[in-house]
Amino acid sequence: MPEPEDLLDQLLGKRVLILTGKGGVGKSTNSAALALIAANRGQRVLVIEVDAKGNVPDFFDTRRVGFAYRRLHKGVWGLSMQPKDSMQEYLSLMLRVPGFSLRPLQGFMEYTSNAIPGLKEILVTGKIYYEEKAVGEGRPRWDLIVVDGAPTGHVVSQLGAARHLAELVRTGPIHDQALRVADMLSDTRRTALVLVTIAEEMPVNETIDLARRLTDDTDIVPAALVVNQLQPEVVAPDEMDEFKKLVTRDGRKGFLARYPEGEPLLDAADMMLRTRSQAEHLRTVLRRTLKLPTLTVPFVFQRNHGFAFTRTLARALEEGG
Amino acid sequence: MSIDRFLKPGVLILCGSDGVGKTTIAASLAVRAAMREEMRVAVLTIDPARRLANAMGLARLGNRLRPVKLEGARRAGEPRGELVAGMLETKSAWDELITKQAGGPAKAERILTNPFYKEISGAFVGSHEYIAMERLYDLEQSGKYDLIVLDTPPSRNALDFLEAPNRMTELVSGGLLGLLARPSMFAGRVGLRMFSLTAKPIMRIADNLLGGSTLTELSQFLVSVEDLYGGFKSRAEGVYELLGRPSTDFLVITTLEDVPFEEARFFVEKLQEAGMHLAGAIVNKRLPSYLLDPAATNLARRLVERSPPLERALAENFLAYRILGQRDHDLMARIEDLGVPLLGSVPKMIEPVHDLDGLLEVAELLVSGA
Repeated sequence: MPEPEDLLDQLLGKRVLILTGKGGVGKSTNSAALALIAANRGQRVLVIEVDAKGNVPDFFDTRRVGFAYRRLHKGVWGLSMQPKDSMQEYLSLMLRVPGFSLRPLQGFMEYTSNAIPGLKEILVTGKIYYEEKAVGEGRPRWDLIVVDGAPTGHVVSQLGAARHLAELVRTGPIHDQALRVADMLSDTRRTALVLVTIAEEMPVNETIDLARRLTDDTDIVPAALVVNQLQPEVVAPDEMDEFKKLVTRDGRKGFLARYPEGEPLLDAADMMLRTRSQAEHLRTVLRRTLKLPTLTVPFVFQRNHGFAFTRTLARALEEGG
Repeated sequence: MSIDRFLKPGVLILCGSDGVGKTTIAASLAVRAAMREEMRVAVLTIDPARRLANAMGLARLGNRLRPVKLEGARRAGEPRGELVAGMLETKSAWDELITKQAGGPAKAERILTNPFYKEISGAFVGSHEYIAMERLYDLEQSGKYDLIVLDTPPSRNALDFLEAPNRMTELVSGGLLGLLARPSMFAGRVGLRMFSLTAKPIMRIADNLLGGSTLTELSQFLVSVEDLYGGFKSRAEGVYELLGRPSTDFLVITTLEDVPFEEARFFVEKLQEAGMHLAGAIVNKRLPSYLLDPAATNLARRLVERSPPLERALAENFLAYRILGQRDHDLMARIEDLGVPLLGSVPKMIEPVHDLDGLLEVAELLVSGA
């Protein structure tokens, strides 16, 4: 398994990174941090938010974006998927539907997309494909595309949709385009799916479940795992045993004799140690079941999730935990 | 006002952002209700929460509701009621619904094997939300349960489940079907006529894009589910009627973090707009108040300056957690912003709940920590 540093290099060497995970585990913050790292290394990065209400721009202290990409930071641009705009672009740019029939056709297709499974989803993955292919000034417009992807519950149907659609619609431009998108998504040289989790029970179970469903229902193999929000190391590893003694009954007595007001410090240490040991256990489970190269990210004790937070997180990711 | 008020005959629906602990709270409330009241209680969860299943003494949760042996709980004495638990499995729930509604095994088979159906039941966005409401309706209609506790599917479009029945009706109803084909009143069902595919240029382009037979196949699918339309429509109406009943209560669950908190506000707003009865809010994973203790804070600030490494580490750790404690405190101070009464809070649990007693303890903390 590669060292964290190599793993990060490997990931940033792809064309497309897609992040997924249970809600609340830090998909968006990690998308922002990865984009920032790549940009700091001189890449031109596009962040695509699959959710129209995505908040990645918040992590660059800038206002929300729409379907047209906009600069978020030096080297980082962003856009968010908007159903109407993306249908129009899909029809006109990707399927090359002539302008005069666009408007009535769009209405029809929006309606049809409720019934043809995969059609809505392919607007998202189709857009990723389109931007991956986009050229500006004689070279690819983006060095790297980071996708703040769908949560675990929806990502399988979203990523699998292109392949399914190609089977359901057996000829014609939609079929051809769906195939190309599906091929890009399953091409491990170009695309890496990154599973993000925290070391808590439900997100871990969901991540394992997700990996199983990806294997069963798609030809996409996850490339890496990010374990976010781990308890940071408060002491050097060789001092850990001594630290643990502090919160035992005798250790407490000694500390409280010196600092009678110090009980909350001991309780907070106890909370941290118990959280750690839960996390250790879950990380073992993850390691054994998923066998994925892993980046670990320490918990960032910061109040606000603005650019300062993103910068701290990026640094933590680069250090690999 | 205690949460116990709402553990009464009717329906209790838990809403909240992903990861706030809806499923655990749903199970806890259901166990408490069944222990304390002479009620038949059903709890239906959305997450494949194996540990919760185990905590209730079940190997796993599935579409079929299974009885929970409440005698396993030591905490609350003799159980007075009964409890069954199940989980929503979208695919099998759909198959069941179609089999029941199709009007005959042959018709059901035709739908179940249709490629569009296969894709729709698994992947169709909103199908999960729809089927959750469908199951709720079914359980309620069965008359077998006094109280049904349901947690809602995690979804960014918070209240998809409220809109799902209507959207489904719309999909199956006239609109698209009418556009594509006339399952004609004149020619009988077999004589499906692609009335306008060649007549309208738009349809010609669409047909071209979709590759020849797709539209035909789609219309055939829609014709085959057309019979279900009446059923869907009346059931959707039934679901709305059930959701709006005075005996149906909604609980909004949140943690004291910015995103779930904002989402909780959004839930409240939408539920109120929809005229639903909001019982109140529950705060989960609350951090201990000792993190803000002034004397301890002063001590920690002193110790980080100059002291041996272990004591410094102890102080640093406290101050780090204190930041989170402060966030908790600040959001708690804004709890009225939610616009609904706070019914209780549960402290952050580090070790997961693993048995009935653990679930009962969560419920007790919820009642006592109001």
